Amino acid sequence: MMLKPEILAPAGNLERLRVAVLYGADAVYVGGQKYGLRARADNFTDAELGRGVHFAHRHGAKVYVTLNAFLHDEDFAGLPAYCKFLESIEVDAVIASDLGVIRCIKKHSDLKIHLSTQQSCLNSYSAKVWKSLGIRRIVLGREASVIEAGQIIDKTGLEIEMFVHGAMCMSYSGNCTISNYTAGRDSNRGGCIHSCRFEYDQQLEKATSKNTLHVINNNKANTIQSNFMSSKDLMGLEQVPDFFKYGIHSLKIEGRMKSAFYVATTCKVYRRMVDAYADSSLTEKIFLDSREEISTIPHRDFISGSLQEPAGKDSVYTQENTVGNGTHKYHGLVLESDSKRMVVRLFAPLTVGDTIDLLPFTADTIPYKVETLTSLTGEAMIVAKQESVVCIPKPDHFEAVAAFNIVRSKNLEVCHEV
Amino acid sequence: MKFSTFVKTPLDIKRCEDAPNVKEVLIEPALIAQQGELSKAEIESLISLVHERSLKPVLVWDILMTESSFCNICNDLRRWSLDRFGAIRVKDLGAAEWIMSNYPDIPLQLSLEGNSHNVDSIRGWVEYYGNQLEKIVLSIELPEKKLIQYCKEVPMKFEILGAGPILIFYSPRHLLSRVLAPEDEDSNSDLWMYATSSSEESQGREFMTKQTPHGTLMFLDKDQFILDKLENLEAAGIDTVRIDLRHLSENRDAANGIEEICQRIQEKDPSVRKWWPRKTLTPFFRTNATSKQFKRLKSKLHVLRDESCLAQVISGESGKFLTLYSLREFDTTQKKSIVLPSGEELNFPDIAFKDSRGKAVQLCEADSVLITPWVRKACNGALIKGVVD
Repeated sequence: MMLKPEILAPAGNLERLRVAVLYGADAVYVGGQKYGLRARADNFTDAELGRGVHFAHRHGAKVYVTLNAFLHDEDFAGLPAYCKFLESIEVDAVIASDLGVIRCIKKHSDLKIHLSTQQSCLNSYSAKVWKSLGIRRIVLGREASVIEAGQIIDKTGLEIEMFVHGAMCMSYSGNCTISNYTAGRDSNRGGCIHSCRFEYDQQLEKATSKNTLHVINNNKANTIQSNFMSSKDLMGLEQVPDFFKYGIHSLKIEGRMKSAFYVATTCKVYRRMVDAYADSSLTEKIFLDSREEISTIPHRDFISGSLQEPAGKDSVYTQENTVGNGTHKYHGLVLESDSKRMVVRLFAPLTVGDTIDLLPFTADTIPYKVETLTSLTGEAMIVAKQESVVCIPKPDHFEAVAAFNIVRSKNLEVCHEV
Repeated sequence: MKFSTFVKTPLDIKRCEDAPNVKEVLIEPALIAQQGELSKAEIESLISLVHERSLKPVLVWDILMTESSFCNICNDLRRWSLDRFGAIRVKDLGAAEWIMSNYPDIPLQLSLEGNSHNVDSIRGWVEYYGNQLEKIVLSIELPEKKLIQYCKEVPMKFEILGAGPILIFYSPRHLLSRVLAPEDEDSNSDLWMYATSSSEESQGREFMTKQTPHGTLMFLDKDQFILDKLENLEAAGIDTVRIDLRHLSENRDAANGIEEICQRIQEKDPSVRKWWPRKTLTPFFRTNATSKQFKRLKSKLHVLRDESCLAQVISGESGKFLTLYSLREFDTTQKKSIVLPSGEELNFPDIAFKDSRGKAVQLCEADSVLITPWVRKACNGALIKGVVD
């Protein structure tokens, strides 16, 4: 019987954790206040972690906490106690990169440890090292293909987790320290400033080829401006059959800094694809619908990364906007839902007459033309501002709509990540 | 304290022989080194010369490899006389593991320049690799006091970059040819390209960018230089200081100038830094403060989201009402204060709570929408704190 891979979703906060789980994630990965690689994010407080784990477990999902920074000696303060805390709230695993951190985790807890992609583990011999150090799952570097992942599984018996969707670095993970020197922020302790997304002025000094034994182009070219280090986004929908075939344990979606809209959409799409393949009902239509659905969220042009073959010259994202448009924008989040009405928190203005989409957790998207808007104090409205909370009537056939459902609308202008 | 440097030609080897205290020479094959150019035949020729001069040849294997690439490389390397090398220096742990499995008598040198910045990690690798590990290359992100501490506390030989380019980016992708020489990209698998790259973020600083058959490397605009600051490290017992002159050679040499600079170090020439032809810096030798800014990146409020946090303001009509979202179940008598996004904390007035239907509530459910009369200064993101057991 083929292994059905887990869908592992990012959760930047408690709200997105709930969204991820309700939209079908089998597991979520989250960061605490320290020891992770997202210093800019608010991350989970201890209280929120407890609530998040409780919620996830109640819905049959797992929680992995990132401890994946490359720590300096002084950063270890509090780590032993934190490991014990994570164990006490029954976190399912931690994700670590640094051998010193891994040794600390093992010394002070029995937490299961996953090796972060930050270690750039890319081959079976490297995987064997980590296996003998107590690692049971490896988040493979994004340079490895699905076939290579399968070979590593066969040779080591380890669980392999692969990134299947989201933003990508151009460098080997853990091998870009530009921000350390340009911004004084350690990229390997959470301070990355995405130097790869900037436009660079480049001037060619020399190009040579040993085979031809001469200088091909020794003319200093005019300065060329390019985003030569900006990668397109990864999308692994086409590789879903391969993930099954080669026994990949976990399909990881990138994006702890991304919106609940992104989380919901990616989880729902990959859930549908994986479930359909598992019960042999995956059709071309489902694939095309999934492809269309995944394009509703903000994204750069998609590539399959190195999932099939090494990412090549078409992997550079060259558009001016650092993030591309999706076909839709994040309009709101359903906070409460009963038989008669929905209470919606808005992230964009809403006017009577607008058409929005409601995204149930599993059912098809429901387009809805807003005929009536009411404030929470019962006043009829024509226009509701961004950041307001409104009541919208709920038609009888909208029983699938529930709290934490995403509301979206067609994107008529440039869309930025929330 | 010894010095090491890279060699590519017989002249380089001669220079190293003449340079005071140069004991190890680093040899980079095109097959397995990020910036390697040497063929197997060239290397075999060089090794003989190295041995004749009582220098220690170290094979540099510093590329990262996916499974298929790794298997192909290992198949190739089986045809090499690896035992002619005094040691093999690796970055990919898989390479180290393969050497341990197949060549247990060849000393290993492990480059931890990118990912081991604490003593526990370093100790861990020392314990793991045991007697076959003869040296660890430490990161320049470690300040002097840490380097000294590790030299004294960890039973291992260490090497540090004493002078040379600082690698800040390593990608397997060929990023220069796509932009700067697209017409040559497909026809030349061994295309080498050299460019400068600068951005607004780097404030115009031009970073040396190099494309080799193994990918793209970017270096800082200034070189690491601590050759005039080695006294304490030497006293602490640092084994080797590496001097990287590859980028300073116009032709195929890699060690041009090694004799002079080693001589100057031996003579404790105070102007040795002025001799170096590029601008220099010692970014982390005194201290590494690259995590200091992180506290400022977080909101003041977020750390307050503990068990005493009852609800959050999510909306409101100024002067009229507030909309809250409850973060836990609570009794309205528990409410105590409101903390604004600025960090200012105010007493929360004794006002009635209603649910989203307008019904008065005392016991508020978790994850529910609540309405209260307007509270002065309240704004989105403010937290309602309470008294909890």
